[in-house]
Amino acid sequence: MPHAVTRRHLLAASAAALAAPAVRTAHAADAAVQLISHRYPGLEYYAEKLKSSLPGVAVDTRLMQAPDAIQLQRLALSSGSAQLDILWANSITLASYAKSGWLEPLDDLWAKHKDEFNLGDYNQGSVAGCSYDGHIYGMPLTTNTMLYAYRSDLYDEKGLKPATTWDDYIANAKALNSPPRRYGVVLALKSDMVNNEMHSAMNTVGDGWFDKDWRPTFNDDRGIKAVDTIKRLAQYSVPGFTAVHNDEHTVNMSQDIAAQGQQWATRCATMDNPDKSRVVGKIKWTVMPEGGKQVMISDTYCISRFTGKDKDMLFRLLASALREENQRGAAALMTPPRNAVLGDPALQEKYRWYPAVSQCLAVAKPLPALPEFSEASEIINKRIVQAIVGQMETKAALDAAATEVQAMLAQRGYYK
Amino acid sequence: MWLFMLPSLVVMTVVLAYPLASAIYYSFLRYYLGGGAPQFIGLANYLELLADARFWGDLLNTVIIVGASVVLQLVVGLALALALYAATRGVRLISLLNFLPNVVTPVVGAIFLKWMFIGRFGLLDATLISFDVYPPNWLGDPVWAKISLILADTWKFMPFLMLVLYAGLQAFDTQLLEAAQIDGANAWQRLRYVILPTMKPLILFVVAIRAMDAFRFFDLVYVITNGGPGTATETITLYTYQIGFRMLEVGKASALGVLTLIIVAAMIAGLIVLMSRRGREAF
Repeated sequence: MPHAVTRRHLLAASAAALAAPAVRTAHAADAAVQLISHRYPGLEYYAEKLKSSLPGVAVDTRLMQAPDAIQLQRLALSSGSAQLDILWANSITLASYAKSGWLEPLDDLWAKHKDEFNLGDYNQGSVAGCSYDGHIYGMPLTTNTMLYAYRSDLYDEKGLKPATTWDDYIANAKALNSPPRRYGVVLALKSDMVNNEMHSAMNTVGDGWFDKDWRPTFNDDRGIKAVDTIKRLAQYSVPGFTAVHNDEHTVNMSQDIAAQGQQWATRCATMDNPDKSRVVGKIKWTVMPEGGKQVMISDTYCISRFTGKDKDMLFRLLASALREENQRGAAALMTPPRNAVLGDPALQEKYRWYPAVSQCLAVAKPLPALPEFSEASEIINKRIVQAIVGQMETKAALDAAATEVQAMLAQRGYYK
Repeated sequence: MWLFMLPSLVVMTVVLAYPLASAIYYSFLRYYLGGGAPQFIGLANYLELLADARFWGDLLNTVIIVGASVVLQLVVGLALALALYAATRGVRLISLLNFLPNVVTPVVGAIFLKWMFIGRFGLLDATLISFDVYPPNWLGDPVWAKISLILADTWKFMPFLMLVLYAGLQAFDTQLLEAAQIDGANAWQRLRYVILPTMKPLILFVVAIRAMDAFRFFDLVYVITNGGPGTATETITLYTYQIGFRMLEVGKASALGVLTLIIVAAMIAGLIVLMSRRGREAF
């Protein structure tokens, strides 16, 4: 006999459908803590530490390249999703997310747990890098900067000295350029890496990216000269640099394909890892030419404002993962933000790039504190690459970028 | 009858009609995902896009990449289908091996291709350099980057055309070929005057399907060049992604999505008209 669909069946189905969100919410509260993060060795280390930091708290980690992580985070946060609990952010995305009201301010939790986790030991610069509009939004992971990495053996062979001017830097690249065996320099000009690579030249040759009213300065005469400097340098770069991001850059340096380049502090350890490098002990680091003013970005873990989890538990999870003992374990991978670890003479001696990192941090310059800098740099970066590869004249490319960025910022309420 | 159609109508409404209607609705709004209430602005997003040089540049890039890759896929796919048709042994094995790129997950295939094309330590460069051949700048030169993407797309999707055309050849009336042979036609003449005219509807059909699919070209270009250098390989879909997911301008991205839909629909309508003129049996 066939089963008839009765009114009772329909009522039962409707009740089940109505109850589903409640069941889902209850399930979400018990489910593993969700992390979306950028990926490099230091972040991989902490992602593992998070999994065992608090007994009984499972953590599901999703690590990927920064642009992909940022995209996923934006989708989750802008839709108010409770499925994202903690996230990696850098100074730029933190400002953008905090301005949009997507992050949980941590001031109260910071004060509450200050003694338990010795939070006073964090250096103030790192905490400032995790703050926006006077509030702390992140737990400092590291303050990352770019170093002038060069092959000391090749420099010695050719009698070269680390460059103090951009002209010298280009001359060194030219002197060491012997394609296809080895190239004079490695550039990484894919997506967000463009502004990181350009930052030093834009601040030393140029006048920086914006003035105090957020009007573009990157397209003035000195800005054009800064882009043309990198364009001259690009002649000696490993080919395909517009498709090169951090991973490919690291391969080029560690596999003896490039003689010099700007390198993140977080990538230095790989150069001395015999399992991954053919140039162990051959690379030295110093400050970029003409006073550095290279990029400095604080990396941080934040808590989503929309999480369905207990925020106190999430804070304790992060603070516990970043305790001093764990930061000592990560010291080879990233500059520690705790004074007790950073200032440890034994570690300063053990990791030979630490003195250079300290020097570079002293002269580094953060990216503009414009919450919309990510979006602005999407526009600027494309135009800069068009200038560098010769698709457009430098002035025309930068003027076009300036017009587009001003239009975008005007739509977002600036210049009133 | 309507009850039978109900499940598919529900699915179509949820996955097709609702998103399409939402996209059209959003395209009339200034809607920034980062904050602020959406604001009705009429056709302003469309007018802004139509006045945007980058939109036209990306459209041209898309037409060049899609056009070149579909033609290349058709030529190589047809040649391989004919070779398989003529082969007497190992046909199944060869067609299976040829089809493998098409079943690889697109992003995995794209990563694999990127590590082939990447400068200096990529497979192509390493191989060419070992033979003392100086390789081109595959991904860093605006022209070579386009060529690399065309080759990548061909590697990925040519097997689809090959298999469909090979299946078409299986249904081919061999008596026509035998008659042509008796009349003294050589191999080229048999191909030119017998095989190709008979297969024209099928060829137009696969070209239409492939062109429609290729116009939405995203995963390969996103992973391999990300539209670079500059905007040399930026396609319409990648620009839509940039506006929607990087700039968070949902309204403008929706307008671009709607414009893309109109362009693809016009292109396919043109092909359908062409096919219906040549022979109504195609559809």
